[in-house]
Amino acid sequence: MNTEQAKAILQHYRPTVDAEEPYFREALEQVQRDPELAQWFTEHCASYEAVRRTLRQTPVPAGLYEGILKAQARRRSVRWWTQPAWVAPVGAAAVIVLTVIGSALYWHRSATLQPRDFTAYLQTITRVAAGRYTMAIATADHDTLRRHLAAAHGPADYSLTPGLHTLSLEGGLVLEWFGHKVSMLCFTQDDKQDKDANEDHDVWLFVVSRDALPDAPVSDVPQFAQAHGLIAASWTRGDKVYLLVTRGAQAELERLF
Amino acid sequence: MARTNGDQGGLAAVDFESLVQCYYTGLYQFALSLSHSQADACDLTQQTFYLWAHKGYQVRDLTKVKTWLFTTLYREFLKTQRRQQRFPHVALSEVDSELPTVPAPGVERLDWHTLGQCFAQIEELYRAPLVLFYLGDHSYAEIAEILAVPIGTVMSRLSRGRQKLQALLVTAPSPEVASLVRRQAREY
Repeated sequence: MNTEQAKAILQHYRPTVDAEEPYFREALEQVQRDPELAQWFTEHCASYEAVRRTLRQTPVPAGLYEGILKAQARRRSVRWWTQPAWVAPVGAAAVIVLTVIGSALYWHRSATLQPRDFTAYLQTITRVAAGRYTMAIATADHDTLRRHLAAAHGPADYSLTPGLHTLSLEGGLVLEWFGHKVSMLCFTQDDKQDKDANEDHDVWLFVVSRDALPDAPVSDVPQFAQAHGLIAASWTRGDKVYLLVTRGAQAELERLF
Repeated sequence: MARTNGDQGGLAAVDFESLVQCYYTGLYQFALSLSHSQADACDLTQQTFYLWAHKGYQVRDLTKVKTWLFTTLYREFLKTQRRQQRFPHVALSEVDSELPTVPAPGVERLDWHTLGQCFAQIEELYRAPLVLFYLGDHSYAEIAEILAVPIGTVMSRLSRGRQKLQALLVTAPSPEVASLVRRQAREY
C-alpha cells in the first residue's frame, strides 16, 4: 500500500469511531512507517474533530425535549395518574391471566379444529396482518432481510413483483403454518403522506412453500379476495405460494404487479 | 436501555423519556442539517418519536433502536422532499483523484452557524452521509442502513461531500465576519 492508497482509505477514518474497524488497520500501520502520511493523517484527524465538535455544538431549541414528551403524553388514552394506585397492577394481572387462559383455549381449539386449506391460510394470514405483530428484524435492506429469513428457516429465495421494488422495505419475520415456515415481509408506501394513519400504508408479502398448501391456486395470475378488512392477492410461482395484503381497494394491489 | 412501547401508557413513560433524552439532540442536529429549517427540524424530530411510539414496539433488537430512529427521520425527510428520481451511484474509483488532501484553513475556528450554511449548500445526496459521518454516532454499516445504500456508495458520496465541504469552508467567512453578517441581516 502506498501513501496515496492509504490516504484514500484514511480520509474516511474517524478517530472517535473507527479505531477498531478492520478496514482501516493496514492503512493505520502505514501511518507508523510513512512520515508524510503521518503529517497528513494528523491534520485529517484535527480537521475531522473540529468539524465534528462544531456540528455537535448546534443548539437545540428550548422546549423541544418537553414538546416531544408532552405530545407523547397526549397520545395516551388512559390517564394513569387519575386512577387509584391499585388499578394498574390488578389490571395487568387480570390481563395476563385472561391471556393465558385464552391462549390455552385457542391453541387447543386450533390444534383440533382448525382446517389447513388455502382458505384457512388466507384467513389466518390476513388476521396476522390486521392485528399486532412484532417484526423480528427492522431493515430497509433486502439482502439483510433475506439473510435473516434464511437463518430463521423461512423462504428467502422469493421473487418480488415490480411494484414491490418501488415500496420501502421495513423488515420482516418468520411465521409458522402447521410446521411450514412462512416469510412475512413488511413494506410501506412512501407516496402516502397521512401521518395519522401510517398503518394504512403498510403492504405485507407472505411467502410459503407450495407443499404447505396443496389446494392453493396454481396460476401465477393473481387472484383477489377480501378478509378481515384487508384486500389480498394470491398467486403461485415456482415452488412458492405468494400472498400480498394491504388495506384499501383492489386497485392498490393491482398497481404493484 | 429498556424496551419501550408508547402505546402501553405510564408503564413505558420512563423508557420513552430515556430514549428521547439519549437521541433527540443528535436527531435534531441531523434534521437541521438536512432541512436547514429549525421548524422543520423540530417537526422531523417530533415525528420520529411519534412513529417510535406508534411502531417502535416492532423493533426487537434494542441495539437497533438508534439506527431505527435515524432511518425513520431520514425517510420522513425524504417524504417531505417528495424526491422521485433514484439517487445515482458514484463509484469510488471515479472520485479517488479528487480526494481532499489538506484541511481547510481556519476550520478550528469554525462556528456551528457557518458550518450549517456550508452544509446547506451541498446537495442532499452528499449532505446526509456527510452529516452522519461528522456526527460520529454511527458505524459505516449503520450509515448505509439509514440511507438504504451499500457501504461503497456511502464512501463515494462521502468523498464527494467532503470535497464540496472543503471548498465551501475555504471561502466561508470567519466566525467574526459571519456574526457581523448575521447581525446586519437581523437589523435589516
